[in-house]
Amino acid sequence: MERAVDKIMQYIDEAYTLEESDKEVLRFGIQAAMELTLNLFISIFILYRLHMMWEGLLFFAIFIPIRTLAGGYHSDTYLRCLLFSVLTLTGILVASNYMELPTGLLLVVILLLEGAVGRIAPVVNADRPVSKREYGIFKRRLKIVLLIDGIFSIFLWRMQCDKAVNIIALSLMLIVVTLILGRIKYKSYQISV
Amino acid sequence: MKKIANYLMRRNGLLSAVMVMGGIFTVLSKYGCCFYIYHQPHFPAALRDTEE
Repeated sequence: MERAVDKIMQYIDEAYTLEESDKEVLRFGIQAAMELTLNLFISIFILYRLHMMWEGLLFFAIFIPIRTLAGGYHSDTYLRCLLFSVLTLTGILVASNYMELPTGLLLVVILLLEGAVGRIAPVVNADRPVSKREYGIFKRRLKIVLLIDGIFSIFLWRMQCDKAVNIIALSLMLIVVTLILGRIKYKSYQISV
Repeated sequence: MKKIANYLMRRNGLLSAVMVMGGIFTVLSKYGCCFYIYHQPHFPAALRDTEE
């Protein structure tokens, strides 16, 4: 991916005159756009193949806002990231078909996991330094997202949407695992407020 | 393939679209602790929040 971005930057460099700092920012944006877009397309393809479109969208609706604000584990290369994303997405969707725990118990698990996320997160990583001010903002926003997810989970439990409750519980388990892995990996980068 | 990529990348319209897309993702990156995928490109020094 980095080689492709280098090539694109080469073309941009030939067509436009940019300062070094602008180039760095642009390079970051283009790389992020390419990585996220490719991940999104592959995820949609997996959901389509598994015939689990709404389940996948529910997973992303829970996972993306929390993960963006909470941070956690990141792999060193994009290829590993892609592999990890594909495996976790497929694993969670397949596991949600086989999980047969009582939804009441799962709701308790969801609320406990949300509490754990609220306590551990945000987990800052080496490539995205965060100031104390930003850290506070992300923590506040994360609490709001967790509250909304909690209310949504209670609503789904009341509506007896067992599969949806399964997916939320599994998504939160994945988030907690990535947070713990991130804490271990980026031990020296953490901020205490 | 290389020729096609070369031809496309010489179009200023496409290059501008790539730059706009990069800009949008740069702005979005300020709204979170990281990207949701398991890879985080190195955050540029110019975008870092210096306030304590």
